[in-house]
Amino acid sequence: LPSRRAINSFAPTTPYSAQSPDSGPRLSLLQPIQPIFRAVATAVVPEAEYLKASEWAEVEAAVEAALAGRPPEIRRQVVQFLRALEYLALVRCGHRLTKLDRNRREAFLLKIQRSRVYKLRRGMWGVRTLVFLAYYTRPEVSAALGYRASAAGWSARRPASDVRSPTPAQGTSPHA
Amino acid sequence: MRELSYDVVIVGSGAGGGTVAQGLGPLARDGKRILVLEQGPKLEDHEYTGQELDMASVLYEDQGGFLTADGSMTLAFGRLYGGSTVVYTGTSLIAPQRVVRRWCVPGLDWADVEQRCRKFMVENEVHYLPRVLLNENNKLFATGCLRAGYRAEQFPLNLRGCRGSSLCNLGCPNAAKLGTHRVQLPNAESDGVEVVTRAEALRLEERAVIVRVSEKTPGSKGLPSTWEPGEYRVRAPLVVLSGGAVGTPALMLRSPVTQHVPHLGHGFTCHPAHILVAEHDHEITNDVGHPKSYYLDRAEEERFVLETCWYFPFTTAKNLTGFGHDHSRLMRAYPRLQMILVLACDKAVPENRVTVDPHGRPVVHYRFTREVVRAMVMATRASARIFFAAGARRVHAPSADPPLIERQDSYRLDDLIREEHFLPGRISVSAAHLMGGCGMGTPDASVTDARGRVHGLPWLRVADASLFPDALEINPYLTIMALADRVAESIRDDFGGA
Repeated sequence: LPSRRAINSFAPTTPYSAQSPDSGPRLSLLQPIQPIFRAVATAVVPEAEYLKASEWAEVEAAVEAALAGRPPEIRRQVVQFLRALEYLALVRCGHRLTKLDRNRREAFLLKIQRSRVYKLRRGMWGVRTLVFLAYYTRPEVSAALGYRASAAGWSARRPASDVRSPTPAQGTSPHA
Repeated sequence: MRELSYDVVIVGSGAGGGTVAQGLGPLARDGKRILVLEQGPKLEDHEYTGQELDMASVLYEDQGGFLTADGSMTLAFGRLYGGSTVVYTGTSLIAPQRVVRRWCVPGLDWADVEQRCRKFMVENEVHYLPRVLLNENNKLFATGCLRAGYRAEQFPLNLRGCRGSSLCNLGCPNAAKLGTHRVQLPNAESDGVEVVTRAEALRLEERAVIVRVSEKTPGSKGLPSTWEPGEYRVRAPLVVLSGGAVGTPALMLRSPVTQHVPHLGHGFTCHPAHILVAEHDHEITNDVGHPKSYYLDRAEEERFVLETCWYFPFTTAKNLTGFGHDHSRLMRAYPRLQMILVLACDKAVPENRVTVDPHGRPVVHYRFTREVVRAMVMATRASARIFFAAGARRVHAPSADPPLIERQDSYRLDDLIREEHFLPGRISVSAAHLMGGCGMGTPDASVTDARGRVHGLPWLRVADASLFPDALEINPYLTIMALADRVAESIRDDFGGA
């Protein structure tokens, strides 16, 4: 397991506050719904609660970049869905999504993911996938998870003499 | 628009297009002008960084997240010099005899397909990796299969000097994988075949392709195109389409000259897949070594295939069901995870097909049939048995609710993993074996004949996975090459047997 220290190495001490979003570079798509996006993101990945302002900016830029190549209707749907979540929470939980504490947000969103309405499930899947894309592709997060893949492959883990792949003539042939 | 003339134009450079290009090398040596158009760029060796986000955006259409029409499944296919052969794992299996016979394509004989597959196995240096180079993620699968009463088989792989980076799906950073970008395309180019990258086929005209060549954007990966940016009309007496099971039908459907071909886009299959993960008590080697060493073929008996696999953090996170605390805890167990890829052997059905939207963009319509759901659930149960037999502490099964199954509950897998929990939208389903859309067969019920000739259009051939009349039930690239080799052979015959 990666140590708690390693995990905390990218986690500052001030937790995220949905009510006071950090100011970062202007984002054309997420900016108007930044509090909702962050409320969802911290429920999807609890560790995101400890992202610094600059790290939030990177996460949101990654989401923006991922959506930039998508058709306009997809980008519109993402924004509409996030707005819908804010008010669905009001209907179902009595408070807007951004006013719920983290555990209640997660519980509410998990219910959305299991909804009988396919469009709600699909929307939730899309949003959580965007959050994962922006969060888990961060090199410091991968490293903290213990992900160590590299071009060096086996030679980074074993003596070089053990790891040379044979040529087909030396290896076992499937042609026999 | 600039006008150019060639003798043959090939659209696409993957397993199909690369093979046809090489097959037409003798014609190029004889002075015929052969052109390959590839929509994506050609990467230089140093550009394969192994970084998930960095590579996905350049290797895959829609970063690997191309969605079906209803958004229930993502399709992964390559879009660069070498096509999907750059991003597969190099698994090299021969088409099953039962499948080719079931296709019932007049003029297509399994023995011929098998012989050509074997030819490419030699050409691509296909062999089995020695046990010392297999990681524990793979060995645990073989052990689990043995203990659970299954017989795992080892994948033959087309590698040369594999260092075990485990990064196959992001393009091998060590140039070890022998896809068409390493073998067939360079061979073709040395024979005089011209390959032009960043060249998107916009539409077909009779004996012509309208092409748009894009400029390399500053800071992006890949070599610039050898052609000036702009639009071209490339005339040729013969056009070969090798844009894959999504690209080829879509190109024909948005072209007035071909869009009325009967059955076009029909018969799309893709081996819908999802990833199962198990957590062990101790760390295992999983992100080092070739990721896909073993498989379990239950296609004939139970309509599924299991394969070992290993994916990067984002892909893993995406493919786990759910989010929040439980998901996060499983992600933090990354070094202790074992993975299995579950593939359902789907069947061509009328509603699963490729169309285009008003802008000409491909749209893939796919509905999970009852049989596919059943196959995926049975495959998930089998995988869970294999995981627990291999010593796993808990298993993450998408078709269970909640998805985490503890070891003490392993005796009731049939109760926990159920079809009713296979909820599209809740679980992640993806596919990388895209097939059909220009199926071979008789003129009244198909798009092409056994040599890829489009019925009624003598100037047009197809040479890619869209030729498959139905799912192949194994990893398809070698079969695509075999069929493309037949197409190339028939073109050589047409040109007088060069």
